[in-house]
Amino acid sequence: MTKLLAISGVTIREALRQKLAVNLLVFALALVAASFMLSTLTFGEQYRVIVDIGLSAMEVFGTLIAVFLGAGLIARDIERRTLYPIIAKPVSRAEYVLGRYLGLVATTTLNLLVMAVVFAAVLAYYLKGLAFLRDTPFVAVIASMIVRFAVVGAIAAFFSCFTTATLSAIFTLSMVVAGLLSSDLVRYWAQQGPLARAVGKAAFVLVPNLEALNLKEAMVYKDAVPLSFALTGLGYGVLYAAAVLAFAVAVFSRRDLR
Amino acid sequence: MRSLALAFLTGLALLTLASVLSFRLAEAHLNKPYDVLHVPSGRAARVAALGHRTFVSDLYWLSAVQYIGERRTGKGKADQLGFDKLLPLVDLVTDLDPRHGYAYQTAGIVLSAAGRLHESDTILRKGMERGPPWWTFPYYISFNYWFYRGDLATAARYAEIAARKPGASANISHLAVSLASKSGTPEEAITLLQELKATVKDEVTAGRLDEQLKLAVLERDAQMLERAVAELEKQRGWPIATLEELVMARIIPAIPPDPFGGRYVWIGAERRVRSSVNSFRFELQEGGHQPGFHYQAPETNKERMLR
Repeated sequence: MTKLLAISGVTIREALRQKLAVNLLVFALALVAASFMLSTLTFGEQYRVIVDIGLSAMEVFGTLIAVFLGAGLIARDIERRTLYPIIAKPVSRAEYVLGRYLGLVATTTLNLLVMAVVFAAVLAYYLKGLAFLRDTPFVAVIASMIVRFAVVGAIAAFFSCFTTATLSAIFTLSMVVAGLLSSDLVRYWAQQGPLARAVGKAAFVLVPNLEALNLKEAMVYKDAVPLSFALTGLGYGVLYAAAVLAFAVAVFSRRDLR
Repeated sequence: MRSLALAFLTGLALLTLASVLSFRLAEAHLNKPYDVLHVPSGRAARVAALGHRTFVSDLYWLSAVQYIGERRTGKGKADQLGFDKLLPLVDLVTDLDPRHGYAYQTAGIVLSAAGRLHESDTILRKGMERGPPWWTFPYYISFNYWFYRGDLATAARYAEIAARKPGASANISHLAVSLASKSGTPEEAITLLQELKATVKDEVTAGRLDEQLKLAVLERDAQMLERAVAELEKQRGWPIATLEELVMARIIPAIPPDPFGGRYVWIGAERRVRSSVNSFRFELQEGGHQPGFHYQAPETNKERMLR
């Protein structure tokens, strides 16, 4: 456990030093804050514009941070050869991958919480109070985003175990797009023949169902999110990330590092 | 140090030149009316939104707001361009986010006020089928049928549907009964429009409703003046030439002001009172048809993509 914490601590420090991640965070914060100004362009539905822009900015930039940090998580250590002194110590490859991943999740969660605080401040200013914390599924939305970034981070870490940081980022972004389209594609395949349906189902299992972690519309319309629904989505995300991480450990354990 | 200052000054000079060009381009852009060049198909946009449908819907909604706002203020030539793109735009907004109730309502009111009744009905019917259960959608269709088409039977059916929606006031069921008995009055139109106005949250839509309120006031005043003319002619036994005769004969205390800023005139050949600046009058039509509840997109996605 101490080893995991030590590796994740190093990962957090490394991530906070990366200019790209910091720049993305600054852009996200600026966009969340600007959502209030953009909302004045509309008439009537100002709240929904603030929420839509704010949450979309958080989600897009949070995903990009998870992709770019995750893609270099292990691949960069191999490229720079900083991995060798670590695995020379009594640290298993599984502990190394898990420690790096935990550090990544802690970083994306920290970034998200910073964005969530700014978003909550904008909403509190517009709605003149914090009643939205009670009247909207704000907490459930943030929780679903934490898990969503953890899923994206796990995929990036998986690719990072056997390819370069650039390719890993490209593959992860492709998986994210596929994950966002998965429910549409299944609907499309369902209308085709039995073979296409089977392929559709297989693809649906393999790619992450990111729509299961999308509660933005509930926030826009102040819908109550049933606890069972939220827990099912979060449970799916945690299990999927854990599964991808297990594959990552398996691949990395077998990798020849010479 | 000197080379640094030289580089800085060169940069400053180039930036100034670039700014001049940029302002010139911005000015040219500002002089052009705001228009929407292409509206993608809702189906394609739903897929391309990648899980951010409400966000993309809002971006197109902001575009629709600018489109409506500029035509309302008559900025540049925008007011002459009409509202050709409003229905496709709001159709797209509501394809991306079918629960965007305010988009259906605003487009319905603006299109109706622009005289595009079929388009207004189309988007409001889509709202009734796919949108939130707002009473304002059938209520406004009822207004279109009643006030602009004089089709009281169809208007009554839509008013009945509105009366059954959550949040509808008792006035709507009274209106439905009144329309069904073919006695819908301008006073009821004024009440209806005032109720609608209470539901809108923006100046643009409220402005459109105010214009329609003026039409209802015009109709109320004209009907009152026509009754007074009939009464005076019955007393005298010969036709009147001008409305001022009504005041002189003390049938009415004064001629009410024209809400459009002109004055009321008596058209002897038509035997009707009209505004000197707005020719609108309510025309009653016989018969009517059943409300159709099958929303039909104004054009197919393929047609729109090819446009």
